[in-house]
Amino acid sequence: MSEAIFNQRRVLVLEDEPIIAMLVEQMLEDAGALVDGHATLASAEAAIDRLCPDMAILDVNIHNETSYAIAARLAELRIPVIFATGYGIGAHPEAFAQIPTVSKPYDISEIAAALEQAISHNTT
Amino acid sequence: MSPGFEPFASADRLIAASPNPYVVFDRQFDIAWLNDAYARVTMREEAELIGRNLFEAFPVDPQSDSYRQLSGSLHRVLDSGERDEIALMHYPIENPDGSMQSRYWSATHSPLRDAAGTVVHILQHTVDVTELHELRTLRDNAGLVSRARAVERSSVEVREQLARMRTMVEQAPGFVAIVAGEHHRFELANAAYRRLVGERDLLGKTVVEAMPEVIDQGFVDVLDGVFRSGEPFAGKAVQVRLSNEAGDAEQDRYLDFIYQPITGPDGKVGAIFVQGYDVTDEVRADEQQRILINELNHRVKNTLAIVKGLAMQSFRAVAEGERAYKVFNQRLDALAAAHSLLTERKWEAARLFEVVGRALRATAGARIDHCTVHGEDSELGPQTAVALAMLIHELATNAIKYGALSVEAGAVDIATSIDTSGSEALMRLVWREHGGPLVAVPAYTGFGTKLIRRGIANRCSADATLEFAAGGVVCTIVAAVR
Repeated sequence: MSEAIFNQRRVLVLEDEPIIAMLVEQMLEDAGALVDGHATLASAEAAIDRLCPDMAILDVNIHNETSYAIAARLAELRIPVIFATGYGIGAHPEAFAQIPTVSKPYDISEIAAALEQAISHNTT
Repeated sequence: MSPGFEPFASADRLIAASPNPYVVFDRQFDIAWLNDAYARVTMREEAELIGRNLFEAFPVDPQSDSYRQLSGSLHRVLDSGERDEIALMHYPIENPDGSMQSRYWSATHSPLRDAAGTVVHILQHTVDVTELHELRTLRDNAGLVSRARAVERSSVEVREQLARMRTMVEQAPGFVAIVAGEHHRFELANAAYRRLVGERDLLGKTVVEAMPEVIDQGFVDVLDGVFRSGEPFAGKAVQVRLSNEAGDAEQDRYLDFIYQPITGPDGKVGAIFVQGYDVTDEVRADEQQRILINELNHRVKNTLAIVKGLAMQSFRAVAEGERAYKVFNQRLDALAAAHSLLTERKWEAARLFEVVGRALRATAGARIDHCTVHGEDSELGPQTAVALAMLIHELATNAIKYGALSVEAGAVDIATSIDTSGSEALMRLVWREHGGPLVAVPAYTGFGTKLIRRGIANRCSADATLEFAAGGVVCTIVAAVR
């Protein structure tokens, strides 16, 4: 199964809705991931350098701001990143159009598939 | 002019000596000048005419055709600045003894301009055609005079029709313009067109001169193309950025329009007819609606995600909750999948094959390779699409647990057809499992069966049946397409 990609991996999760955050963290932990959850842009930003995550899942809208700056930082460090959003797919600015996006509500297999796409994009 | 001619031949002396009657009116139609021939033909002295108003000097009933014809022609000269002719006019004049004499006239009115180009006087050249007219009448001959009358009558009609057409075009709700020649010079632009371009001066100017801001937007290239090819061009909700009259502000408008080439008698394009509507308000309303739908969808999807989170927290907290959570979670995913599909289609319609395909993929995962969908595809209304997605989810879940998708050799055949013979179009879908284990009826109860048995979307034309045939489950679903 593709969910094996999470085994023993540090996954940064940025999600400001606590119940959704709990759900995605639980799903990832069930798949064997070491989850690092954040509810604000500042705390997620600080975690990048401190914890060196293996991959990241970012909600686009965090307290009326977007997480694009963090996505740019992660892409620069070649850390695989995906967006999770309730908005339609393909609504990102051009610079972020390449980043795989899962639409809420999502399940673990959709997240795994999107992250695999991000990883293969990073290695090519 | 030859020098030898000059001493005795200035233009006004020539006209004064002419045997043809000439008279000059000012803008109030007061008589400013006349020649001898005019005095002779009207049986008056020069002194009694100079400075008098034409209609006082030669009174007629203001309601008469005579008055209307003469006054109309003179006014047209003042309004248009162009020569006007009266082919035949009945205009009685007074004899020196005070009695009235019936006379027929033909007249030409030419504008006389001052140095600035303003029409200050009108020159009338008139011919008394009474004799000719009477001669014809005597001979009971409807020849020249009646022809002249007919010409006069029809030219009045043509003028009126032309005026009506001009008024119609001018007041038309859509914008209308005609641009002539390869440089697209404005020959006509109605009120709506002038309003659109900020009441700019257009007539006589080229599109490039009058509206330089549209060059880089490609409109001149399109006009060039229409002019060269003779092929019309139609634009739908095309965005155009237009300057205001002062050229200091720009605004975006959205236009539906057509460039229609006008070909001359030689078969070549001579001008382009531009016609269209400003649909900016409609485009903005659509955009507003799209944003609202997007926002609403976002909130619904977020809420579904929260419900999933709540379910996990709730079910996992109780003993044996894990299994219930899985079933619930999958149903929620099926609902969310149908919702996503409809969102992408703006909640208008979704394709039957796509609804089935997505529901299968969401539920059956890799087992989708054992499912075949064939038959007729169709648009489905939102209610039918959601109900069908839920039904396919239940069927697929049961097939995975107990039916054909529970074993390697099993498969599902899904056949669709559309029946348009009745008052509303019906979709028919047959789900047929084969190669699976023998299905025991009691294993197939619960929500899925209830959902199927209750039919789909509670419509009188809708129906669903479930059979436990020897080869596997057969489910037949009939539902209104919309």
